[in-house]
Amino acid sequence: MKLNVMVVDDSAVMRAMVKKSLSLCGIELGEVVEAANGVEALEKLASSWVDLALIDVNMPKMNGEELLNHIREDEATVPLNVIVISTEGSETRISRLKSKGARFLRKPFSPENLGNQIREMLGETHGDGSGNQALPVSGPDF
Amino acid sequence: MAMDLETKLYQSAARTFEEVCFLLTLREPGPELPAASEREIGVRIGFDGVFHGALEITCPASIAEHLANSMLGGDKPTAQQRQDAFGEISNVITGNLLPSIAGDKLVFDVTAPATLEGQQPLPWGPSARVRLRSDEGPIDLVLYIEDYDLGARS
Ligand SMILES: [Mg+2]
Repeated sequence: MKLNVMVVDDSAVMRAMVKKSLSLCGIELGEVVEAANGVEALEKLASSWVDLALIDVNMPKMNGEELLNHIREDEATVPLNVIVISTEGSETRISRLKSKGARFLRKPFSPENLGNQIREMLGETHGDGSGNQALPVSGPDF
Repeated sequence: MAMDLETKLYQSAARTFEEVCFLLTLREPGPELPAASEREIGVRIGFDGVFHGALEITCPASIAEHLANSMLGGDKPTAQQRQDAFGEISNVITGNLLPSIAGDKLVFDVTAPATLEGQQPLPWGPSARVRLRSDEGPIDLVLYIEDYDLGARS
């Protein structure tokens, strides 16, 4: 099954890099939706089916942490797979993000890092006992 | 202490340029104010946490073009893409720098990178200043931390 991915970052260059990495990282990619901040991301989540959201932290209007809070508060999006991709250096904030069921990938990252995170996350999704709820996404060999 | 800040600033920046776009840089001793022609592209990123301040980074357009090229590949980048790529690199440098100064337990809110052009000057003196030399030209970094003025301490 192809994976629909939302890329949320205020930098168009970074969104392009993430998209390029997605196409190189060995996952079967479906639709890719882009958003430039948290507000835009919530609007698009309401109208498109997304299996995985890749979210930046530092963004104007609504940052990635606030977006993650909204995602986890809304019944429709609470099981969404989220990977935060950021320059964030504070372990305190990173732990806070992880406690809300997000994975973390530090910029700069390689397509291989991204692919591994996605495969691990989907493995967890299909696994058991991880405590993580997630959308029932099936991938090629995950 | 000021020297220490400059070393941290240098290391955060040099590592980022090398990792993100294979741009090798050398630290220049005793940086002077960069000439206007060398400050064609500029970015300011503010931060707020246990201390607050900003990092400003300037460089010639040729460097920003090199960065955008290595990040995007393909066609000649537009002026917007150059600025955007330079802003993103500045983000990574700030993300490396703050924990190297304050440790990795403290949380900072970091603003989105803003074009330096047309901005009000900051109300504080620089706390650290570093110039990097690269094959593509010079890169200047000035760190401002409130109540931490390089001039007042040296
Ligand atoms: Mg950002």
